[in-house]
Amino acid sequence: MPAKIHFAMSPAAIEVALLAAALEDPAAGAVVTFEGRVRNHNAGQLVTGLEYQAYPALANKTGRTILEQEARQHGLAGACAVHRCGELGIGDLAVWVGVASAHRDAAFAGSRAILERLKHELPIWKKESYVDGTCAWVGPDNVQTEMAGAVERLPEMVAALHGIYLSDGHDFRGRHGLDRLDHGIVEVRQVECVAGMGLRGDRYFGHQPDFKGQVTFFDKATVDAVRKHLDVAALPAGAFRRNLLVSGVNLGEWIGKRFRFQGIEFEGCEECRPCYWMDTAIGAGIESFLKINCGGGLRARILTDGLLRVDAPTEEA
Amino acid sequence: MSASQTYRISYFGVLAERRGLREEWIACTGATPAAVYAELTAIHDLGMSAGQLRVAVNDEFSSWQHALQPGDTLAFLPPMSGG
Repeated sequence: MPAKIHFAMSPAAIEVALLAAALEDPAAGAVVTFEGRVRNHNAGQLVTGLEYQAYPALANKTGRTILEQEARQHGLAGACAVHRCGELGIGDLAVWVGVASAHRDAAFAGSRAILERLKHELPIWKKESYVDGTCAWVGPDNVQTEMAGAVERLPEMVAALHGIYLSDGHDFRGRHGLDRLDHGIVEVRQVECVAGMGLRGDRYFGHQPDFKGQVTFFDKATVDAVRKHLDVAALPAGAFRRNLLVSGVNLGEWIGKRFRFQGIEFEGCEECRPCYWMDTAIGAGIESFLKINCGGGLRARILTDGLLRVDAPTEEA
Repeated sequence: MSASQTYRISYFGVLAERRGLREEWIACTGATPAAVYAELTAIHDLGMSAGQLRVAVNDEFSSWQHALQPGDTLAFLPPMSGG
C-alpha cells in the first residue's frame, strides 16, 4: 500500500491537530512529529522575527518529492510536512513534520531525513530581523548570506576543561552593603551553550542583550596559586563563582578576540575583574591577588550553540 | 550574432533584494541559463556567481546548459534556508 503523503506551504498558522489526525493508521505502531519554531537568537544576534520568502510552485513539488522519496526509503506508512511562509514571530511554528510507520526506528530516521532535506532543498529563503533594527538573509545552517562562501575559520583556543560550575542565583551582584547570598554552586560534566544567551542553568543565562559575561573562563593555575597562598588545599574551585575551569591557556590573550573552543565560537570581551567580595568569599588579599595577569578570568560572549564537556581531570579526581 | 530571445526572470531571497525586484522580462542573446545569468551579472551587481546558485526553468530544477525556448521562466535560487 502506498504511503499517505501530504505536503503544503502555508501562509497562515499551521493546524497541528488536523495534520496529526491525518496520520492515524491502525498499522502504525510509531508516530514521530517534529515542530520547528522561530528561535530568538542566531549566531550571537538577538532575533525579533523572520520572513520566509517561498517559490510556491517549485516548493510544493519539491516538498512532495522529498516526502515520497523518504517514505519509500524508510518504509513509512504516512509522511506529512507543512512549511510556513510569510512573516513569523518568535515562538511561531515554522515547520511541522509528522511520520507514521510500523516501528519506531523508521519513524525517527524518516522524520529526521525529511527535515534535513526540507532545510536544504525546499526553495524557501529566510530573512531574519534583529533587535538592533537590521535584517539579513540567512543561508543553510543559518549562516548569514553575506558571509557565506567566506566563512572565517576562527583560531582555536587550546585549553583543557577541568570543571563546569553553574549557579542559579546571584550571591554578590547588587548586594553592596549587604551580606552575600548563598545560592550554591553546581558542578556539572557538560553544559549547553546557547548563542547570545549563556550557559543553560546559570544565573547569567539571558541576563541582558549582548551581555559580555555570558560565560566566564577561569585559569586552574590561579586557583592552585590561591590555595598555596592561603595554605588551604581544599579550597573549592567553584568558590570563585566563575563558570569554566581551564588550564594550559593564557586567558588574557583572548580579550577582544573571537575563538573556537570545543567546536563552539566565543568572543573574548574583557577581564572578569575581581571585586572586593573575593576577599570575603575566599580570603583576605585575594581581590588584589586576582588582579595579576587576568587572574580574575575572562568574560566572553557565546556566538554559536553547542555542548561543552569536561575533558581533563576534575578537581575531585 | 544570434537573435535575442525574451525570458521571464524570477529572483529570490538575497538576489531579489540586490536586483531590487522579484520579476522582470528581459531580452537577451543567451540560450542557456548559464549564458542568461552571465548577461544579467554583466549589467547588475548580483554579488553571487552561478556556482553558488541553482536554477529552475518553468518551475522545475534545471541544468545550467538547458536549451531555452522563448518565453521560458527562469528562476535564480540562492542557497535555500528552510526549517
